[in-house]
Order: sequence, then structure tokens, then C-alpha cells
Amino acid sequence: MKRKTRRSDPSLWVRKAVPLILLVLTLLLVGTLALVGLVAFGAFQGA
Amino acid sequence: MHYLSLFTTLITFAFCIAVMARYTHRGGLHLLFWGFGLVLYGLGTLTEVWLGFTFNEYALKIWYLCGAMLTAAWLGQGTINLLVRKAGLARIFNIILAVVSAVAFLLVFSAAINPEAAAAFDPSAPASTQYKEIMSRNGLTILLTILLNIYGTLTLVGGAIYSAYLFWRKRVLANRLLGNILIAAGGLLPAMGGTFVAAGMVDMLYISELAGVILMFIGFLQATASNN
Repeated sequence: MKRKTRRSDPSLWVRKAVPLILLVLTLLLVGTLALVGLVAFGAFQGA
Repeated sequence: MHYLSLFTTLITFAFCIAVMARYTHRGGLHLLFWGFGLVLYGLGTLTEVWLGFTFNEYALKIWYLCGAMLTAAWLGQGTINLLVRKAGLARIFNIILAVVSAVAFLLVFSAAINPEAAAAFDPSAPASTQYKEIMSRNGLTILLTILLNIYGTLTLVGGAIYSAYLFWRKRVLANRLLGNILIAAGGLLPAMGGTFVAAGMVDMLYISELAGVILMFIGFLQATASNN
């Protein structure tokens, strides 16, 4: 009964999803910074 | 697309009013920095609207200074003032940003304009695809643009991710957890704008600016909802 309650608790799913969301956001941040750097470096060379 | 930028401007100034209302009610230097960052965001998109109708040298320079150079850094500086507990350290960063912003202002407003390229300006095409031929930028201007954007994105988005992580780990304040996730996602979108332009997806710049400010506004309202 206790297990059934846990499975149906939506906040548990949210709590499990948060680390994944934060990981995706962190990867996007790193990727964006790398792209900003690359685009800006290209602009620097083209100036 | 001018109307998309106009809509972005209206939402940005509404967001700015909400932030400044909270500042007058509760204080906090971080809110003042966010408010000023949003004024810069709004000026960037407002001049984008202006340049969508006609060319004006000052509109282009305000657009570049606010939109391309300063907005991200001032928004990120708000996050620095919120998260850095050592007031002296935050103050040093504030002074550095103020000095760098003054230098950026002088560099942009003293930049020469190519009259032939200015005369050939096409209002139907985005300013982001034309400004390089019109406004001369020296190495320091470009270097500051790079550094300010990296600093601003890292502090604004990184700070929101870090805050969300803290709320998740401590299992407290779910509204602030969600608010910071939305702020991080919203802050990422305009940061990707330059990449979209470089990739030829120019329209995505306007969409990212609009979606970015909407997400950050909802995130701010969500994060502050239970504390009013």
C-alpha cells in the first residue's frame, strides 16, 4: 500500500526529473558558451 | 518580425516594472541590477523595432551596446549580488562591470559609421546581419562583447542552475526550484541568438528573445510567488 502511494505521488516524479533537467540545462549552457566563443572568435578574426 | 520585437519590448518592460516594484518593497541590490538589465534588454529590442522601419545611427549604436554587449552581463550581475555572500567581493565585481560598461559606451558611441553601408541599410532585413558593414568595431569592442556575453550567460544561467540544485538537494521551496529552472532556460535562449544568426536562422533570434523573456518573467513570478 505504501509503495502504491509512492508510485502515484506526482512530486516523486518531479523530484526524479529535476536532476535530469538540471543536467540538460548545464550541458546546454556549456554548449552555448562554447558556441558563443566560437562565433565571437570568428567575428574577431573577421573584424 | 518587427511586431515580435515590439511584443518582446512590452513584456520586457512589464517584467522590469515587476522587478522594480519588488525592489521598492523589499530592497536588494540584485533586484536593482536585474531591473537595469531588463531596461537594457528592452532598449535592445525597442531599437530592433526602430531599425525595422528605418536606419538611425544612434538606434544602431544603442541596439549594439544594449542588446549585444551589456544586457546579459547586468542580468548576471544581479545573480552575483544574490548568490555571493561576501559583500566586498560582489562590490568589486559591480565596480568592474560599471567601468567596463562605461568603456563599452565610449567605444560604441565613438565608433565610425560607414555612410555608404548606412545608406544601403535594408530595414526589412535584421540589423544583426548588417551592422558589421555599417559600424566599425575595433578589437577591444569585439573582445568586450565576447567577455561580457560569456560572463553574463555563465552567471545568469549558471547561477539559476546552481540555485535550483540547492533547492532540490534541500527539498525546500519547490516554487523557487521551478522558478530558477525557468530562469535558466529563459536566459539560455537569447544567449543562443548570436549562434542562430551565425547559422543563418535569423528569425530564430527574435523568437529566442521573446521566448527567453517570457520564460524568465514566469520564472521570476514563480520564484517570488510565496514571498509577497
